[in-house]
Amino acid sequence: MRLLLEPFAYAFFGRAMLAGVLVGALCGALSVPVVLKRMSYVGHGLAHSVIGGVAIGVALGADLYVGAVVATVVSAVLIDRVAARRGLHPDAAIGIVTTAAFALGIAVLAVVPTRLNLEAILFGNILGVDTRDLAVTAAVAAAAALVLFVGYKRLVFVVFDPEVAAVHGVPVRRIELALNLVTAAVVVASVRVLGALLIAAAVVLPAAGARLVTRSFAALLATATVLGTTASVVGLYASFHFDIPSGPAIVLVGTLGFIIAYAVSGSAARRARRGGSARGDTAPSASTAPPGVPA
Amino acid sequence: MLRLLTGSVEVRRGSVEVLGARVTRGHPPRGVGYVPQLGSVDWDFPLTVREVVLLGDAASSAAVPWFSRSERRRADTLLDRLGIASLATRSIAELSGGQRQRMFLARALARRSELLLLDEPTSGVDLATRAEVLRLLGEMHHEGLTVVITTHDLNFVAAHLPRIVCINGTVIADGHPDQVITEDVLTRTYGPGLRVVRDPDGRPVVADAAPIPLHSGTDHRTGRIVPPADEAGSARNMPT
Repeated sequence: MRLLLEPFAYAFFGRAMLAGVLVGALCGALSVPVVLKRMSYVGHGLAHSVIGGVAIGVALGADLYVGAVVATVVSAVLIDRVAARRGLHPDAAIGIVTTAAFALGIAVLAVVPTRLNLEAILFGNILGVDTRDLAVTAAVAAAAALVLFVGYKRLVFVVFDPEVAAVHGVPVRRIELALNLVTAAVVVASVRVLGALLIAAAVVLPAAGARLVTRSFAALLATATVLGTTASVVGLYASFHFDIPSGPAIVLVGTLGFIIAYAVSGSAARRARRGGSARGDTAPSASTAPPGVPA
Repeated sequence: MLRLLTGSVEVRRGSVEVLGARVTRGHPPRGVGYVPQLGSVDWDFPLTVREVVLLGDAASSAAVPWFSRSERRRADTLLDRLGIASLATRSIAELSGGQRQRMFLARALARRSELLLLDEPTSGVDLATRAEVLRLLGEMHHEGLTVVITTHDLNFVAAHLPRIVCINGTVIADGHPDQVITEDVLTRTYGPGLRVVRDPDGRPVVADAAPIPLHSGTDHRTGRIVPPADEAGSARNMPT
């Protein structure tokens, strides 16, 4: 119990924990469309944009968040526009737009001297979480929750089958743009706690693990949100007690959660196969050859 | 063609009208249900059969994460009509090809469609499922639904439809299969190499102009494939 309560003697830890819970839940929920739409590279790319945006913003004497927001929102819109052109896949659009922002930021930092703590931006630092960071995170969480609440059904349709969703009157382009903007906002809100380089893992691990142990979209969303939040809470304690940056600690805990889900789903599948062979059931499994589908 | 009808691509020349309304890119017509090819989605996606059918009318559903009781009732009615009510809570990964096709049909109908567009509905399904899909579509057509199918399956599907339009850059022929399925039309649509014969009921059947024998059989003693007689002869005559 002392291990759990001791960190709260420091005011910064309470703020970091609150921000961590929000960021964990946000990244967990966001990881579901990111994983199902196979756009894991988006988180990675937008995080690189953040680095570029922060560097440029600070070099120009602006607030850290201004640079980060401008860079990620512009990147998200550009990714959407570039990917909308025929013949260019989203991963190519992400690669072009976000690495350009990153390169520009690094070039600016090389030319204009600043007091920017690049390590804290890259790997996260719970000491740096102040009340303003907390307010930004809370605002992003509220906005993301509202978008998810209002657009849930249409978002599921777009992620599952965008072609038919469009024909059936769902505004696919607007929903995909909203998803990119929410991703950008979550990336910005997560920089302090997770660090820009590790956000990509945080928006993949929860859903990747949850998908192994759930069968419905709602259960996947709930499980991924819980996994993301748990990884943040446990990771922040680990960060405090072992004196390691918060980002790596959270991502390592998230990876451990994925490994456990992987092991649990693997042993469940083996049990099911053993049960099937014990009954003399030689039918192929649903995932390999659904009944009725010719081989 | 389906992409033009659904407003998925730009109309470069002329105009497209569906159910009396002009269709432009990004503005799909109302009252149209679309059934894509089975291979167009990830079948490991974590959704149940009922959830997929409910999504069919998501655009006009309330902006809350859940579906109303009447929407769920309607989805169940459609599943029942298509004979898959017992699969409502099953994961879509567990469905057979025919069940998937019926689920997609139910989703298309969930939109209260007047026009059903189907992209190769019989590709990738077995013969029994093909017949079942055709029977269902026939029933819907008799109930007043307009059904448009794209297919290359001339013998099994096209021959059973009341009207065929053959397209190859332009409309080659349009009419009843008896009039449309001719060697001239097929040559202009697919190129040479197809001939038309008549079955005992007088319906047209498309066949290869010169079938290519792959092999005559298997030598049961050696287990090797035996080439056709003339090929075997030429093989014997080959210099060693």
